[in-house]
Amino acid sequence: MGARGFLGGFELLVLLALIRLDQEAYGVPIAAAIEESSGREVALGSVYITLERLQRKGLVSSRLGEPTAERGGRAKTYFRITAKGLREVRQARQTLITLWQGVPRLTGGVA
Amino acid sequence: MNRPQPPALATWLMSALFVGHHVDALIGDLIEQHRRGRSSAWYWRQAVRAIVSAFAAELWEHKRVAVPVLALGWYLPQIYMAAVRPRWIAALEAYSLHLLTTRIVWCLLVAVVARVFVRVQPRRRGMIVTLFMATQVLPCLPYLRIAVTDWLYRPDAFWFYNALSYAFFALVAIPISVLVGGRRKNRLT
Repeated sequence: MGARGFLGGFELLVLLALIRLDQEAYGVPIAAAIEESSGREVALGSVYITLERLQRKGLVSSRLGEPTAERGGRAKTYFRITAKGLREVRQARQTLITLWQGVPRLTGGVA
Repeated sequence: MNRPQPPALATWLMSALFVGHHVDALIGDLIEQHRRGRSSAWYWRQAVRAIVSAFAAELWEHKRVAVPVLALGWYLPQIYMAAVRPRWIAALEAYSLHLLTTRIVWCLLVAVVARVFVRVQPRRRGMIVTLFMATQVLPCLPYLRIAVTDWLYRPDAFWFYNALSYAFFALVAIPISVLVGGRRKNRLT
């Protein structure tokens, strides 16, 4: 992230979901992917707020799909991770791996 | 085949209050999920969480706008009482209409202040109007409670009118003044 700071935890989850979903990444499958892996309910509004913030940082791009009757005539917005976003994810992964190496076994509720 | 209709009020609230560029995509996603079997309670829950989360994120992101709005909104009554009111209220003391005049002047003042805030930061209009309205309405609630209690203890026409007029001032006149002052500018020019 350079001068702007580190990726937030939820931002990283959203970026990883975008990478996994590739071309089919819009609100519903992104939330479902995070719910599936974390086991927690995810609010769609939080996903869109995070996507908008990532888009402002240049880590995500979006394109409009076709409006459908199933969605009340509203179009899907598909999201993709940008090259800058990929770099940030790699850097976050590297940071986490490095930090984990210095952490002892986490068992019994104490470090 | 009849499709289940999502709660129209929740959809309207999201389109009116959700702060963000992807509001149509969000509403479309919720409608899609509702038609796939999610309940109306789920739809409402998602709508309320989206509106509250977006407002909180907007506040956090634009602290430099929110803090002056909150501070001036909070201290506006003190500034008004100290600097403006004494100069002309004495002249009106002789007339029984001074209470009504004071309330009208107050409504005009909050409309002007909201207008100035929105002109300075037009892109943060929704947040400014909501925050400023909260700073003007919330401090009135204890006085409204007192007015209603007075009326309950002395249930006659005078105290009923007193409670009713204060309720109108706090819950209708002030919010409308802020909304009118902070309304979106006509884009014809």
